Amino acid sequence: MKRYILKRVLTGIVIVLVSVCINFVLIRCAPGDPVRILAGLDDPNEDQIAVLTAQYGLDKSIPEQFVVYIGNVLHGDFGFSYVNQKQVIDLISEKVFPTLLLSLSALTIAVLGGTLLGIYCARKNGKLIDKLMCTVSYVFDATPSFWLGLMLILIFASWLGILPTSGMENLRGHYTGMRRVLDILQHLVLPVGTLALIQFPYYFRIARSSVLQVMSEDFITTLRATGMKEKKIFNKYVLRNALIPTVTILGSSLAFLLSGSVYIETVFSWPGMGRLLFDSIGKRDYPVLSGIYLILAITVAVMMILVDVVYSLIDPRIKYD
Amino acid sequence: MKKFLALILALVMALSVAACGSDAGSSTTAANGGETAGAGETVGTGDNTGSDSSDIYGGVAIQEGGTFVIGASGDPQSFNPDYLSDDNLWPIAQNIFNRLVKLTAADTVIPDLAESWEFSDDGMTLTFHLREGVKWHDGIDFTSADVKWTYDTIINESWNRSTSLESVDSIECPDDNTVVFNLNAADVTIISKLGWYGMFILPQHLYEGQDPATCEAATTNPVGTGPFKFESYENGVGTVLVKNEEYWGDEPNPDELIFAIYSDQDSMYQAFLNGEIDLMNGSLPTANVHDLDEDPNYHVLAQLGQNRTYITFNFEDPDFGKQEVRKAVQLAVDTQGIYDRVGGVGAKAEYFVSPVQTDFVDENYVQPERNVEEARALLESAGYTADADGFYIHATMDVFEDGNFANIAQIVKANLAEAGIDITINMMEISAWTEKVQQNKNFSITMLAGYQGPDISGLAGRIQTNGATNLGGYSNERVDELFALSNVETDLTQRAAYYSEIQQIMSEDIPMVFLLDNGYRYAIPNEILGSPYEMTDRAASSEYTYLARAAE
Repeated sequence: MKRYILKRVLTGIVIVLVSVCINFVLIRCAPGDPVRILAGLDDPNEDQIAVLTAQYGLDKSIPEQFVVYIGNVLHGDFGFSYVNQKQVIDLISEKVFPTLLLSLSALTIAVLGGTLLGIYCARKNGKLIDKLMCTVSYVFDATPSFWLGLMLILIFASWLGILPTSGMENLRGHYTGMRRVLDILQHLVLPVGTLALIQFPYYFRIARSSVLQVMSEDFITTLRATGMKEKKIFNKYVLRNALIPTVTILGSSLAFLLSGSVYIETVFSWPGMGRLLFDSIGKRDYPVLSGIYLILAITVAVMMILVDVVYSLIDPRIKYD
Repeated sequence: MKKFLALILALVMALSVAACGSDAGSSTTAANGGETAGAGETVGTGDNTGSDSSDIYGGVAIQEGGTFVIGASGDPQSFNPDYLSDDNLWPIAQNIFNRLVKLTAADTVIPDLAESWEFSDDGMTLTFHLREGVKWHDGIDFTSADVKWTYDTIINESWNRSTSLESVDSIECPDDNTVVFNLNAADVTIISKLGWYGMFILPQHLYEGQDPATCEAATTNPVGTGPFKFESYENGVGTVLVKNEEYWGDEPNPDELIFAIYSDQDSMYQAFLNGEIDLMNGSLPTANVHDLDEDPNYHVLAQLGQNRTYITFNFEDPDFGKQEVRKAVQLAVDTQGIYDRVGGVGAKAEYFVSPVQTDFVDENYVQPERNVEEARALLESAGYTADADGFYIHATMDVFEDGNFANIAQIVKANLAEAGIDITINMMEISAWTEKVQQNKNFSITMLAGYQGPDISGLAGRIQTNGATNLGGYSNERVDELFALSNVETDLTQRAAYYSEIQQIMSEDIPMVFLLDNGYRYAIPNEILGSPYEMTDRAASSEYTYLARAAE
């Protein structure tokens, strides 16, 4: 097991390095010059473009830029955002909390809700509630998150007036302490609701189908033949086996938590990492993109290792050598 | 269940830990262009301090003070308003800083830190008389040295609008309240340029020797002389300003001004309807321009901008380099249809200069009425023959995603198809477009819009030889000469005559085909008074000094 983990850690490091390298080159291959974007479309100032290009080191070749970048990263310097005129590390750290707050809350609801509903519907297989829930899950699965977000804003904020439209808090209120916490929670309802509605069908279907699959296995039939009570069979044998796929998927979902949800963060003006990523792509803010990709790559690698380890713990059939 | 409860608790705890310090944002406005104070004249102004508030608000009683939230569409890059081109800082900067003169929402120039100014007889010297007793937000006296330092730095360090100061040779400060610009050539356009982008006066004592973008004055502690002081800023959330109690001008009414960032126009509009924000900094979203026309709770102000959407051609292109082909495009385009399609916002494109420039529009030169037959005949006379599908020319039009560009491009495509020009629309992300079209000139035909002010000479960059926004490489010696002559001409009639000739040449050469004169529609809740769109005699285009709520 130790050897296995070591091997996985080394693979993880290689994956991170390769992904940093690819991301560094790819974004620079995309058409568009960040300094020209900074200089503005109307009447660009060629003198300033030349000054900034040199200042940001963009007059060097891509390999040269890469060497400088790696050197800086090893010294803990993630670069300077052209668009925000700020250290990348400071910029990203500001975004971690809002993004985690949003995506962890939504994921928790989606996983719990989706899985419980999935299990319930599997037990009611073929009944009206099952058919209804399956239809609902397909509908939400096919709904664009951007549109759903706007619809929820229209219904709950504009028509009913019971929730704020967007943002993370009421700036006018200047709330502090508990009042502020409640205010943020209130602002959290719609974006979390949208994200959870979009994600729940995934967990619903996984749970439902794996419960159904396990229930049709031979060993369950055998258990039934022994006269064991259906409730015990379900709780002790079906559930345990049926939840393995959910755990696996949960691991990989967690890895993407940090990138947040670009569309949801944009519609709800949520000050998170997804929005930063999206804006930075549009404006070719290379240092910010490299910084975010680096963090994402590390998170994905760490999660992959964790999932493998957890997987072996919950499923004794899996052995690593 | 216990775990779930624990998670909720953890969430609440995490929130309370975070419960310290966040505030509001920024915004986007393109200044809309306009009339300019002619040069060669002395402009004095009444001291606009101590106005009677009932005068300002047309006799309506107001509630004093209050917090006002303005919808803004993005994060400022820094709080140095002169360093980079920054549409998001532009409205905020107008409330923290001052310029020598300022442009109003009606595109007129009014005094700011300069009380009056005059040109010497030969037009080579421009003297500004500054207001006395002006202090920076940190209590230090503002002097002419700050003005000199700011403009010297913009020029020497090639900051964003150093191009606006090309005619400035040197700047002198004979005393604390006088600034003299020595020009290398007479320049009647300079006053309006000083009222525009990138011309805010910065505190020398905080900036000198510092990094222009990362020093304290440009990030966490911007200091200006304006009606509001900087309080806080949080990325993605917003910027908070508070009233400058010591302001030298009219006492600002709002106690607090919050620029809250909305990354999506539709969300901002919903927040506006919901009363979460008091005003949107900018026009109503394209899809909603007429939604509030009949709503008794709002009034909507329509404004024509000095901003024109047009087609421009690559003069190196074998087809569009020919005058007949450009003329055919001009004849084929249905400008009325385009104007109708955008909901009648702005104006149908007719003239060769912006209709906002009433002193300069020559009505003898207008774009011809649509005539598809004539367009086809022109193409045939130029030697083109139609292929099996009836097309004389096949071309790609590069268009970037921006507001109503996609819609207009579709109309243009349909219009040109009727005249036998087959257009493939290449919709691009703006960064990609910038590289392909602006930088590499790798295009045949493209669409562009943008501010063409503040002075009428704003047109020059788009059509004079090697102009910064002259994408297609159009070049006409006489046009260049006329721009040069008009820039030093103080007599308005003579200046208009030069521009008349420019319009005549444009009507013959057709360097561009105008599609639409863009306009803005600002929605204002009835209880909100004193918006910059209404205070065009005293406020800068996004200055919120006079914002107030009507008394109940």
